Amino acid sequence: MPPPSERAGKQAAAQQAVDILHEIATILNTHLDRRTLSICISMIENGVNPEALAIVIKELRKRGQEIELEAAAAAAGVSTVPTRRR
Amino acid sequence: MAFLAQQGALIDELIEAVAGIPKTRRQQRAALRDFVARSLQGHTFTRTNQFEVQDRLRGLEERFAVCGREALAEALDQRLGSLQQHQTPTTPEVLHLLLELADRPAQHAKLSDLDALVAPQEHAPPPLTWREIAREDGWKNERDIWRFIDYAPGSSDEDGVDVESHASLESRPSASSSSSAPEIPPRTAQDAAVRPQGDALLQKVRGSQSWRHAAAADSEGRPRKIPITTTQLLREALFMLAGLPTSLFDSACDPIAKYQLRGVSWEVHRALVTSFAECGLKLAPLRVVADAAEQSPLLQVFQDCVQRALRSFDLELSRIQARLVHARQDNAVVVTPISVLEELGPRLAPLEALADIVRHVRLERNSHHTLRYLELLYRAVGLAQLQGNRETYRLLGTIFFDCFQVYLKPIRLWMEQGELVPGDRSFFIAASPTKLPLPQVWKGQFALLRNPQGALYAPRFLDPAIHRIFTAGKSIVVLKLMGRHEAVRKHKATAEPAMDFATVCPDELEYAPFSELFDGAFRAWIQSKHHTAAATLRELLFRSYGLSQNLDALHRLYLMSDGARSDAFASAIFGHLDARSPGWRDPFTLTETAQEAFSACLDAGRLSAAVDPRALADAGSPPDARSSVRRALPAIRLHYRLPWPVHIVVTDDALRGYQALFTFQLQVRRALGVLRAPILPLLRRGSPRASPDLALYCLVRTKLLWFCNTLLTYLTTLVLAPAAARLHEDLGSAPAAAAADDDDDDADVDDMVAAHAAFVARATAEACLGARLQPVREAMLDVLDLAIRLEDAQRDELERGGGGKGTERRTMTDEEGYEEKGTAGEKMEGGERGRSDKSPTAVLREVHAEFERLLKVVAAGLRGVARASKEEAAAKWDLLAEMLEAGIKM
Repeated sequence: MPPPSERAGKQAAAQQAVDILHEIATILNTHLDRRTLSICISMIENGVNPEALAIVIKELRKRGQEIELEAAAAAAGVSTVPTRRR
Repeated sequence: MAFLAQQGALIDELIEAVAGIPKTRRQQRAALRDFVARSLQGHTFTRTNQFEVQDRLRGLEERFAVCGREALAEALDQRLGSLQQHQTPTTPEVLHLLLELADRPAQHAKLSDLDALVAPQEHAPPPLTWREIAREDGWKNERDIWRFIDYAPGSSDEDGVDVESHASLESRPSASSSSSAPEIPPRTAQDAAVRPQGDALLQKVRGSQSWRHAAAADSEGRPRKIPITTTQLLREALFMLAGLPTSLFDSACDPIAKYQLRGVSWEVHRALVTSFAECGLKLAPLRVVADAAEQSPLLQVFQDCVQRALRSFDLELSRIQARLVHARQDNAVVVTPISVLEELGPRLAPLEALADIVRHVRLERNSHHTLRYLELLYRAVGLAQLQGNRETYRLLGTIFFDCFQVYLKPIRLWMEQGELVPGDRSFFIAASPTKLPLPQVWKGQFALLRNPQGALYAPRFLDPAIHRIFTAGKSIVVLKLMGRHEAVRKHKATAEPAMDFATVCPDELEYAPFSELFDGAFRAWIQSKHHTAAATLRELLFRSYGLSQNLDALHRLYLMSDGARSDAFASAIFGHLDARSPGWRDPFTLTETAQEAFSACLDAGRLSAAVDPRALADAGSPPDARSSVRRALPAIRLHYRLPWPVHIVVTDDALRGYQALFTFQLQVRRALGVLRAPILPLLRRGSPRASPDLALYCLVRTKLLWFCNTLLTYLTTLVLAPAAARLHEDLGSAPAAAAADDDDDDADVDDMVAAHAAFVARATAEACLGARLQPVREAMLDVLDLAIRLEDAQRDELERGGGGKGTERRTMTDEEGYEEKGTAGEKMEGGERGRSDKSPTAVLREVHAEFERLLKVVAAGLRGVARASKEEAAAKWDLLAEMLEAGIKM
């Protein structure tokens, strides 16, 4: 077991690396926040292909937007229905 | 699905973060999860190529720069640079991902977003302050922390410690409870203050010093003197002598009149105080010197010596003060001002001498301080020795040698390395900033500095040795240029003798005059450095560069010491002249002729001939050129290439002298050559008795021959040969045999240069080539021209034979319209134009008469100048005149 100081050091280094990658992501206008970036890094460390992951994220964003629009439309539809029913 | 199992949690998080679907929507989440898992597993993409990623990032940076977003490019570059330190195996993949997700960053990315990232880190917790700690720990309530512990030997620490620990034990259970009855009253600042015990002492000290500020007027308002005790007077005096400010003496060491010694009359007091003041005044310049900031190293050393001397004096003062203090306590010893003065007297004498020197230098504003200090110290040391003041002698001698050591440094560097310390203005040798050609380095590269009055820029006592120092350094420079400096350095076996007071002026020799001791020591010091370099240079000049051989070659060439070869060369030239061919003025032909003639006795490759263009202009057409020795022959110049070290000895001036001698000899040989043409055709015409012309011709010819031979004999045997022999002697043709030779006997390079220059000057003067004998020389050249004219007339006579070639002669006459200077020339011109009218007899008679006249002129001129001048050459001129006068009577 590495001593706690060494583990703390490694954690700090890893944290710094993630910070720098987040800054690069911001410069590149990737619309990734820190949490998402951390998740992506973890996935890539687990062997996920980055290109595939990129496509997945784009798809998820699209789907997320669709679901939001649906929800917004549904909320608008619900509010008008009672007037119609009346 | 193992993949799903592994990544499930992450995938869920991803869905939540990116798509923003809440956990309630299970169906949609499940669908998305499946989609994600399928996409991630079943992709057909290849592994990330990290070089491609790097290329894309670089391309992006360039794109930012091109689009005018330099700040963005810089930010990206900086982050990528920082990322280098935190590289992991997956970093390229992450960067690939970011690149894939990049959404037109050149157009849409903002730097302000970056700044917004940093903000959250600034909310660090506020720093801890002592106040908070004190508040937290309740220090205010624990009185005992602030209790003063008495460390005096009487009180016992254990009580204090016990009480404190007791108090802290009390306070520990509850910081706020102050219910425990305090046994010690609350401490205040007054309790903490330390009361000084020496109040009485302070008052006593104040009282003892009150005399300084006592009223100068008594109760009636009359001015009165403030009485002081002997001790106070002594203390003030000793402090003043130590250079400290006092109340009794002002800053100029003058006594302040408002104090008077108790029990002593005013006059006595004043006398006493004035004697102290004088001592202080004498030391004042030394104190000033000791405190000044000096730049030059020699002055700094001097200042250091002065400081040391003053310090030993101050020590002496302290000893007297110690005795004074003990005397007060013992009450057995009496110390009086007069005894102190007497005691200080011998100590002050050397310092006074030193102060005198300093004062002298300060008074002379224009002088260079370092040199003046050395000179004055030297003089003062001698003076002290003569006066028998041993202490002064020793002190000043030590200081002089200490300063002289510093002055020796540039001299040592110069004599050992031939280098000068750059920017050193106190040294008497300066280098010229331009780089001179090698032969002129010896003479021109370095010079001795002189001040505007013409005196050398060095202490006067070094004057005898300056020249040797100078030549030693120059020898080293020349040796370095020759590349032989290493050899010299190896030869140096003698270590330099020490130049300090103990060695130079030991006690056994205390009666020997200082100047003698110093001169001897310095000469030995110089000897150890000078001898090797100069001797090596001489040896090299003779052995490696063949000074003697080169001089021999020059003499063979210019002084025609080898008659046969010179004749061969000369006759070739005369042949060209007589044939009226341009060969005599062609440098290539001349060079070839010269090299052929002299190849056996010298290095023909170094020999070349040239024609002086100015003299060539005077020569005129070929017929003119051959008709006078003044025309063509002075234009011919010989040049022998010398190695540059030999060129140091044989200067350009000397070469010009050689050239003049060569030209003169050539002119005489020309006349001789013309006269020696065979007269057989003449004799065929009949016996001399039958033709009076022939008799006259033979007479004139004989006389002319005799004149030329006399001249040539005089030149070769009486002028050139003895001079050359003397030159060899002066140069000391054998190089220095052993290093043990006393080098005053060996000639160094300067001596050699001077000897050679003297040789050339002597030879040219005795050969009548000097300015004083200009008219005599012109007359001699006229005689030589007469010889040519005679032979020309005779040749014409022969060509005429039975006559009929008058027209040709006339045309020849017209061509030969030369102009000559002097009355002889005008007469001849007149004669020449009417030559066609003149008979050969008339020409002969004219020539004869002219010759007699010129002979008398030459002899009389020589006698006159010899009598009038006091030069060495006058004797030779007398000899020549005598030789020529024999012909007058003929």
